[in-house]
Amino acid sequence: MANKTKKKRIYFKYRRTIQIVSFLFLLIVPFLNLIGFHLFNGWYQSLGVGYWFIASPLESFESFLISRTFFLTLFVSFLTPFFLAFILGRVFCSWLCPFGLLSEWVSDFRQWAYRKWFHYRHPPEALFRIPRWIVWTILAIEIIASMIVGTSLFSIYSPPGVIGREAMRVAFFHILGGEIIFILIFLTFELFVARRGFCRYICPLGAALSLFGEKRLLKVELEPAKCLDICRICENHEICTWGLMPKTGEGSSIYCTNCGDCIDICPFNALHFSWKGKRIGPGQKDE
Amino acid sequence: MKSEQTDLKSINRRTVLKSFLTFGAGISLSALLPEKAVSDILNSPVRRNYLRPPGALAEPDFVATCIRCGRCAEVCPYYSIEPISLGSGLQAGTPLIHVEHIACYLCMECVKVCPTGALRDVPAEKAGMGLAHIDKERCWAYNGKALCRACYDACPFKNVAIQLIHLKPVIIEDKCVGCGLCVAACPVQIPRAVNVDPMEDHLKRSG
Repeated sequence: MANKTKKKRIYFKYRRTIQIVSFLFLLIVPFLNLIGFHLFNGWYQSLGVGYWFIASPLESFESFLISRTFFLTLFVSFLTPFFLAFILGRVFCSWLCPFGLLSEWVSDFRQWAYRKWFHYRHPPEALFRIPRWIVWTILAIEIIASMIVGTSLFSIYSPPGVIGREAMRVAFFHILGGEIIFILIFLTFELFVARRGFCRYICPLGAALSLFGEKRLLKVELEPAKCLDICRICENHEICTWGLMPKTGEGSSIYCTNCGDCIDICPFNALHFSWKGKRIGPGQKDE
Repeated sequence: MKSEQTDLKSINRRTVLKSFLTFGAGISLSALLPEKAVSDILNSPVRRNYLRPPGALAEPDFVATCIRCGRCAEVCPYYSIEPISLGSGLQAGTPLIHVEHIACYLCMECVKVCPTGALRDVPAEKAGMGLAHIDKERCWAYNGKALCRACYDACPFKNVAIQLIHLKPVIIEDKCVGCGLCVAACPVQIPRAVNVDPMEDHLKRSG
């Protein structure tokens, strides 16, 4: 298998398909509602499929903290994304989030531009070193600031929420609401300051999902017997858009989103998804 | 590379808690800001003829609870509910009905989809959005310009929330839910002869 020059990017294919479907879904749902088809209703701040309600966990939590009222519907809506993250980890970020798709495209463009115009072999991840733990701080600031002002702040600038809300405004009222500016600011930040900077260092929702998924069942793991020491393909920062190094076991760290890009790139199939520590996925019969 | 690696490995509950505590302490200093400054940025957009959807909680509770998912606006068959724009500051994205434009028809679809309980599932009679007031100086029926009963005809609770007494419309304050259909129907323009003012005690009414 290793002598094959170009390996098929199996997970990437599925992931990009799901991402695009998820993005188009957001754009189409308002128009379906416009013509009176209410089976799908809302977007990733709260999505209703029939009577199945899903609510974004961070906003739900903030809403609960600020209003100090336990509302059963909200709690039940909170459970779906919570268990998704609890079992599969932060998959929302890399497989579903519409902003994640835009962010990855910006990231690809950024890497290409660095190489093409500034002749970098290895484009820097960020203009200055940003510690990764800053995301927990931002989560704390976000929650506490929300409690101070008395409204859920993340629900205003939440990128998946804003994309859905603006799509809805365009469909229903033929205007944009101004929150689109947040998307532009965040993408500019990712383009000029840090690669995938918003998702990595700022997004409080991603931080919350990371916390939920700390003990997740699905992880990216390394089979040391198959791994070739001198091969450092996966350690190349460009492979992991999150800047992790799966060779050092960071595939099971709290920051990994289970996107599967490193698995796709590994020429020896040493990296793999594992379910409760057991290897799963394609590539087992290769030896 | 080595340092980053250990940095990543050492993230555990303690690190998370530590960063929560340090920066939590810092940010809580901003609680020392004068109370006025905090309340000003949360200025409510609810005012005369600009109302929350039916079944809404009272104002500070509503914006505390709403997660701006916009499902009420999407499900509204009359396009009455609009998520307000960023111009309204921290209220951006919360639903608002401008009754002069499109009033609420009290179909009560929005309350069924709200996941947060910001809109409570109440019957139409207890929507509690506001209370209509008739400006007797401007109203044609009162000042004798015409035998107008547009508001009476538009009211979903005819003879209950609004009555014609000697051919003049009279609002029954206990029964009016403030849907604003009378405002939309009123032929007197800018300002209308009938207007809806938000209720101070939504919750008590929708209770």
